[in-house]
Amino acid sequence: MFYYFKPLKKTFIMICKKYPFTKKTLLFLFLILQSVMLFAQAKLPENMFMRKMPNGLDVLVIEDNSVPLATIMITCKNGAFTETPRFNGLSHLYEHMFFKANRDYNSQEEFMTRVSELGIKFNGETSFENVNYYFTLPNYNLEQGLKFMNSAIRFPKFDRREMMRENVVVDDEFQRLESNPFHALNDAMEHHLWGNLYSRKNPIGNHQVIRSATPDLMDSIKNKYYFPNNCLLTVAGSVSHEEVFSQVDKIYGSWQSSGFDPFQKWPVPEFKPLQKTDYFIVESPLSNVPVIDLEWHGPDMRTDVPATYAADVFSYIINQNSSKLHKALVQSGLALQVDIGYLTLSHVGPISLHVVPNPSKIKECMAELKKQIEMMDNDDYVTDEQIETAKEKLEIIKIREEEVTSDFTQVLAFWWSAASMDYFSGYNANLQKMTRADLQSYVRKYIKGHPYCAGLLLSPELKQQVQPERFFASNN
Amino acid sequence: MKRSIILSISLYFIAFAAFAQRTATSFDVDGIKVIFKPTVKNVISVRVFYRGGVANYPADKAGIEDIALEAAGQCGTQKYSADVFRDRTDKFGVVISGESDYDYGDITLDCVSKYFNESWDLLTGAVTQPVFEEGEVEQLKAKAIARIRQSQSDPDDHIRQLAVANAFAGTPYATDPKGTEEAVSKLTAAELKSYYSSILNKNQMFIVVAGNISKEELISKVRASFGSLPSRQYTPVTYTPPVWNDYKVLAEKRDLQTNYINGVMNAPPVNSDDFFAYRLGISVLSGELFGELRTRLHLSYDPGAETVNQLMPFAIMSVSTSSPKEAVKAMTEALNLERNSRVTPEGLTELKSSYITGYFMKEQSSSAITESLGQAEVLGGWETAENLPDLVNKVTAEQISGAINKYIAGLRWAYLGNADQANEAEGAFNKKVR
Repeated sequence: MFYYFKPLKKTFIMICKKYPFTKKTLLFLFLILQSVMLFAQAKLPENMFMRKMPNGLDVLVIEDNSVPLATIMITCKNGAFTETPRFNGLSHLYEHMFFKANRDYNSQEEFMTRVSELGIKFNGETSFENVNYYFTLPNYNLEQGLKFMNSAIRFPKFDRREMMRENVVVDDEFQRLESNPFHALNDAMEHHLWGNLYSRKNPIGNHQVIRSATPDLMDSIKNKYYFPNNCLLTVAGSVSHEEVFSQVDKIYGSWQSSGFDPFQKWPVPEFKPLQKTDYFIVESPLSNVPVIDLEWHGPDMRTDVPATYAADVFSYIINQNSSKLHKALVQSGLALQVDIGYLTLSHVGPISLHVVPNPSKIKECMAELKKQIEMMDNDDYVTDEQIETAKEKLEIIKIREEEVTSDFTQVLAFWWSAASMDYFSGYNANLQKMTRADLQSYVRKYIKGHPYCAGLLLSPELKQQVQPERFFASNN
Repeated sequence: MKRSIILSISLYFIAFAAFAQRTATSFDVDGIKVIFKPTVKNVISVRVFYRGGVANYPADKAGIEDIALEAAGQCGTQKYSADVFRDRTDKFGVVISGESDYDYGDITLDCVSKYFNESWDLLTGAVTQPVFEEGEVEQLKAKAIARIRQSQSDPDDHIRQLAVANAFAGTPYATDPKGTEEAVSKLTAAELKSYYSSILNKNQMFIVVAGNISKEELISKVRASFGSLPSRQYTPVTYTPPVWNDYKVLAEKRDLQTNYINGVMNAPPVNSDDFFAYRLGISVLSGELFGELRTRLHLSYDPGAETVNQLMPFAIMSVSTSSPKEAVKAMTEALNLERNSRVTPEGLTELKSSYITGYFMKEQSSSAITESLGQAEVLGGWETAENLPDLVNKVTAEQISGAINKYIAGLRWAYLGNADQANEAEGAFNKKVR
């Protein structure tokens, strides 16, 4: 039998860290880094409609008639943050199993045949705090697509043999990641940054856990998280919101609420603040471009919402060509690239500073970087013009984000799970309120003088030449 | 079921006519060709294309066009210093970039409608009056060298480099348009400036625009900015593609967690009657590889196949696997199955439907629109990209089978990974397609 599809390859947030220096992806990185500046209106835009069904399912419809397509996405608040070490990777494996047999399609072959019949392009992605499953298909197949999604999300079958066979596929996904030259640094950073809660920030998971997974463990995930009151259904494209709500009522109305909040029943443990600054060196024969990565524990949505706004404005300013950091590192020739970003999460979002140093000036680059961090709360570190430019930029970011509706659904799903649609609605207005004092307060509360993890990735040859152990340390 | 599917696909094409809000057109503005597609979104994409690619320079200058085009938008213009230029791109949320590939290079502008005038001003400077400030060029070269190194260490990039090297040895495509570390390190600002002047030629260039703007405004802008560009005779390059009717492997040992395998096959050019039939056939092959290697045999995470549309086109199968011998056998078997079977009528309908879903997904983005129109123009005519749904709809199962059998008669394999496993797979690499 022939299958006429190939899954889209997307990793959304994770891609920023995996591929820090590529020319082709600059626009993409730019958009992702700034995606936090998305939402300006006090209420949802005119083409967006949101309802909560009696069973707790949030339903979001985005009308866009520019092309005759519809995208159907289910987002579940699952992912790495729900995983103990024993479960690390099972959200990811669950995502793989979603595209296999269920009550209405007896085998993966039947599932894929239906994918072909409906003209579907599909994919799934597991992240820190959500798992997305999405289909894009001709809009005239919308109702059939909603039914197909309903079968897969509510009635999956977890066949032991099928799971064991899928392990090989997941293994290859792991191995591909591990073959990337930047993986060694990224993985080491996650261990240093999150310590014994590493599993809560490791979406791809643990090889061994996935290899030994059983249907019972899959069922336990389903029985904790896969209920309408923990999910968002997004339908976007050339659709009518009234028709969508009506169809969703009929198809998903019988999906029973769990009757509990999984995050009250199985709380995510608190991440302990870093106790001391931690420098480490990662030597990899796969690396022939050195990379420096500094990360701090940043604010989260539960405890410090104002700082999440400040973090985003500050990041945008620092990434501008005119910023002091950019001038001191890139324009001086000490580095080829520098980017700072904050990832909004409900449970401690990381602040990340990535630098691609000039290989012959790593020591000088690191010294300047430390100097810059000490100056980040100075009154003149950011200019009024930079602050205003950052705010002016919000409208541009919003327009860009909304251009490709089938992708915009992923951005909205991210906000729904990391924050809320209310946060989304008030986002722009709140960013506009940010002042220099707010930015300084953010830097003082989370960056300057606070412990961080610093990793340096380089090849054995460069390590021997540079001898970073002599200077890549917190006391220099 | 069959009846309803046919009805559905018919409705789809009727719907397409209703939804295709506007269509692309082309026209001449003071001697420069412009291809324009109005859109309803407020993101505008402008691409200025330069024909020729690797045919424009000798192998020892590999990378010169890529860096010259990037430098045009990064290393200062007569109106703005490099620093001020970048500040303005930040201020208006503009992305201006330049790069080059095997058949063409381009300088692209990506902006929102609100700041189109300011953005166009920057693009005009980059295209017509770049100054290639020496210090900026040196920084850009350092970044380019880092990219080249990174690309070589990235297994997905490097396996493709190996595949192209094996397939196109002795042809102009043996020159990597991104350059080599050695060639790039020797380039000077003066050389880049001189090179850029040599391709700044109305007859070698054309412009593609997609956005929510009027044709009149566009014509006015093109005339004012580019009307006085030099105009010299230009003859587009033509190639005779190599024919692969035997089997060769290029293997490179690297200690990785998995092994990467590519298989390159001949493909028809864009202006061939076989073009769309072959593309659909490769979509079938991609699905077959996914179905066999991932779903049934569980050998690989993301196997697939695609056509690479160039003046010397090819199709390529890609797999990563810890079982290379079994994977290569399965890849060859997938090819054999496709060569010796025919897509069913229902399957063909579904295939077209899925293919056109992919087409419309790309049509959401101004940048993707200008890329596909421009690439099609370089390869023979922008109309091929614009009329894709109609052209795909005309393809028959017989044409797919005929095209696949006509062009796939041998393979150029590339392998990156464990040496022992490569040796074990040697027999599989040499297995002939039936």
